[in-house]
Amino acid sequence: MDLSQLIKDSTAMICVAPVLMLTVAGLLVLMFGVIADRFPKGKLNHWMPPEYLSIAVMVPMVIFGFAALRSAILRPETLRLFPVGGQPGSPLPAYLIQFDPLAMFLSLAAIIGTLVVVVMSLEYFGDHNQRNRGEYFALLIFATVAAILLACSTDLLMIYLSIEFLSLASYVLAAYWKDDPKSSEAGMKYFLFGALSSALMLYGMSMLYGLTNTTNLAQIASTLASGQALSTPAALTAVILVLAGIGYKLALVPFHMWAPDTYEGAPTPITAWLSVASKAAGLAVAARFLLTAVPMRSDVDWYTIILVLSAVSMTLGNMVAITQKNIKRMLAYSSIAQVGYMLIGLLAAAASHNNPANFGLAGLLIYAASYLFMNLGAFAVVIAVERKTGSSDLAAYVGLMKRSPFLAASMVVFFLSLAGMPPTAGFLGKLYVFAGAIQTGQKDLLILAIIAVANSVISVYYYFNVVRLMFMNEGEAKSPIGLSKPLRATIILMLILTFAICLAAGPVVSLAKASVIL
Amino acid sequence: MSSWILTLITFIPLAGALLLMFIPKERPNTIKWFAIVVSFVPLVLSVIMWLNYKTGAAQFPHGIQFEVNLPWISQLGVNYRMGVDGVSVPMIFLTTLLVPICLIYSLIIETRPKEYFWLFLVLETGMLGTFSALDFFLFYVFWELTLVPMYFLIGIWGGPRREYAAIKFFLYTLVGSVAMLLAILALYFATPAPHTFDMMAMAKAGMDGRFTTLGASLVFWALFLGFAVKVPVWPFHTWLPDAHVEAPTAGSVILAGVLLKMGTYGFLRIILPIMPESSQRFWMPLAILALISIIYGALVAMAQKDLKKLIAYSSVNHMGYTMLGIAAAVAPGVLLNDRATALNGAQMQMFAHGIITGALFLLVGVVYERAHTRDLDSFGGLGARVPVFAGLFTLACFASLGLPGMAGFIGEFFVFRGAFPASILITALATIGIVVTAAYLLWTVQRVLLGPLNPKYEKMPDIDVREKLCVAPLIFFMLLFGIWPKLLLDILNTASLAIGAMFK
Repeated sequence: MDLSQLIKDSTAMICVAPVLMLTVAGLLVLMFGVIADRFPKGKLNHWMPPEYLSIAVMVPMVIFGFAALRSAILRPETLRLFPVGGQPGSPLPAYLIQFDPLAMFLSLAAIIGTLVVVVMSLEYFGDHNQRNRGEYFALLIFATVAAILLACSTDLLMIYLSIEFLSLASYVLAAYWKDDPKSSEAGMKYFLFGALSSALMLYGMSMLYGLTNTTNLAQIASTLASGQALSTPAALTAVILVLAGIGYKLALVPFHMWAPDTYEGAPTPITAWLSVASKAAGLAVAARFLLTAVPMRSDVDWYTIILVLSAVSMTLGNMVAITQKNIKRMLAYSSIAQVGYMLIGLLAAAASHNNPANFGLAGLLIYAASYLFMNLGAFAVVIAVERKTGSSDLAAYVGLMKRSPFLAASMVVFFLSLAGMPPTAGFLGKLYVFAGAIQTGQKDLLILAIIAVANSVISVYYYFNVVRLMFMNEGEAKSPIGLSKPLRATIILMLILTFAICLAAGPVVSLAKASVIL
Repeated sequence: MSSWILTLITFIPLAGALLLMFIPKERPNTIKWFAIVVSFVPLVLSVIMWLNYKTGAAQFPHGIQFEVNLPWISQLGVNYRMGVDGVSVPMIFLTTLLVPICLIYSLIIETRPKEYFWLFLVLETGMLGTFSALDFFLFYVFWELTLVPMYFLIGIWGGPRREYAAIKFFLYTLVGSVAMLLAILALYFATPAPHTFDMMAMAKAGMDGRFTTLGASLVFWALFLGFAVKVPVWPFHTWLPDAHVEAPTAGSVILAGVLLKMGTYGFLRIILPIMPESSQRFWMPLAILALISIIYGALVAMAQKDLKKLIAYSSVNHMGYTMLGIAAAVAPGVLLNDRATALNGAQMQMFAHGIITGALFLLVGVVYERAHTRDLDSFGGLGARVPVFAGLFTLACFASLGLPGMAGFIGEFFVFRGAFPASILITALATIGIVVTAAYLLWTVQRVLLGPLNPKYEKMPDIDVREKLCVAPLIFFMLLFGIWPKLLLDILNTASLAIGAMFK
């Protein structure tokens, strides 16, 4: 579809709306921030701080996101934009991006994540009268645009550009506290690993292009399937190199090295954002690249590689999380493990040759949605504790039950959900991806599922180590921890959603099942 | 037609817990009495349910009473389905009976009473839901719901090694649960499309034939692991002594009285009806594990110096009888009557062990409150000093060792009678357990109550009104079902016949 057609097609416009509106909103926040900083005596900042403006622009975005997902599901054909040449004489149309339900589902997750992170930032900055806050929020919004574009990309070049766009915004955000060495270290490490993995990915992409003479994912698939590719080992090497770039975004072992340091040093809301929104986009591009460009029918056997990486990611993530003394690092390792669980859904979908009746891909989406709410909830508690105690060490959680029963109890719920215990969202996510694995009836996936459930038992150990500190160690008498209204509202909302996704699972399951089209 | 009584029984404690949150924690007595009053509502309702229960009616999986069946997550084939038959009615009664007793006993709790009573009420919902759920998804939710409150009850109000015991209990049980979860999913996909988590549909469909032999075995052993950890069957019992010893008295009562029964209930409700062929194929390993539990539990109990640990190991022994009954009931080539007898014995033993061990743990709590030790060798001669306590304790010990005229005897007798046709050897070996049990319990009575009075305990006060109130109903039921077992057996028997009829 070209642009003149697009404008006439109202459902298509709805699909595109979130990206366009977010871009405009980002520019608006950026300009406003610049003006407000230069306004005499910070009057403008006082009257309308950039965070309020950001909340004001992000709330409608969630509605646009829902509308986009709905219209992507209801449209008879997938909306594709920006035709490119591709192979001469190829019957397949080649487009740079497409707005399909899967992409829109994960984009919606990223948008919701951004809104929650903006609200959390409000508390996080608090009375820090930091200049350049406009930049921060503008970058966050631009990063969301990048995440959506990444989820929608159907072309190697577009994937590369979106990943770079997303990464650049994230580097700056991770290093936002310029004067804090930890924050600078976070940004630096994130940048160095990012530069390395994007170079690897670009190299892989160039090899794929060399082998198939196209950068379009669908055309790559058809060339590989027709056996016209020059060499299968080379194709496999290329796919592995591209996986390095995608694995970096997902914090998948062995591309996870940056995660603990970056998670620890970055401003906590940014950590939360990286763990949910950035990851959602990474999941979308992983699913799209692996399932459409190199589907299981082609000779390129990435399946075993992902199978092993998934198992290693879970096991290593959970094992190392046990020894952590800082909750942000612990959650970083936990997020490395969580990616392992999510990939089970992807593997199940691949093993069933993208059969929509398989639970795997829907499971991945449900898991991503569950993870969004439970992890944001956990980070909201971390922010509340950090604001009061100035620390994110586990020691700060001793006796939290006495200091704030609400925070402690909420944290238990989020941890239960992260560990996959009913009746919480995490349970439904795990149930669904395991169901996908068992449904295929394949032995390798059954073994992976067994490794996964063993891992969820391990994860209970370190999550409940924090619970133990909060509830069973009285500690010295310390002052209670107060909570601002927005943060309290955020936590309550995340609690409701964490329970609702399991107890009233109908809508989420329907939505995810309808969104497995990519 | 839907009946709401089960929903009310299950969720009234949870509703009570939610209301409890609004009582300020500066008013501990209001909190305690509120929780106690709330916990009596399910008891009354469960008695009403029992009185209205039609004993002769069709049993699971052919029929169910007080049923409610509403779509819950229709996209996944999950229903809100609850109902009871002869297996679950006594268990629900047992649960609703023990919880108020525990709460009354817990009136002495002084640290963080609000959280304590809150957790206890949530725990009650989890237990009652487990015994009522007929949908596997729903069952699993309730099953896991019992873990977290018990973790906190052990971890906050327990003994010196409480944190270790709490996480050990949690992790061990969780290993079993997650294995069960994978088995549930395998069963789910084996049901005819559209797939369902409905236990009755699964039991009717005869799930064994839908797997290859290997697949059926895997599913069977995964389910087995889930329930065997809870029972606990040797060698999965190692969490039990830690959890029972460290838990606060009321926590031990609930652990031994109800949570262990959830394991054997799982065998009766899920493994036997849903996988009859595999159960039959593996009856011998089950019977051998049961036998080991019986003998090992008894011998280890005899070696204990800690009174509470002794009773904890006696649970391994007593639950072994239940497992023996279950295993023997599915042995090939046994008459239906013998199967039913073994299952009656197993169920009777479940109920009897619930009240007897409940009483024993309460009495141990009583003596610990006064002496601040549970070291068996430090007592002696308490019988003359605290005669009422001594009488009750002796009665409970006699019930536990299976003295005729008390509930424990009926259960054990039926188990042995039912197991005899299945395997004379195993039955004969299992009787060793009875002898050893009698030995260590009598020895315990001797060491605690008889002999010269330890001068430390010269001023020990006798059991008080609150404690008597807690123990009395349990003693009453021990005697009632011991003298007039028909009251309970009539209900159990229909269920046993229905389960037994599934086997050839």
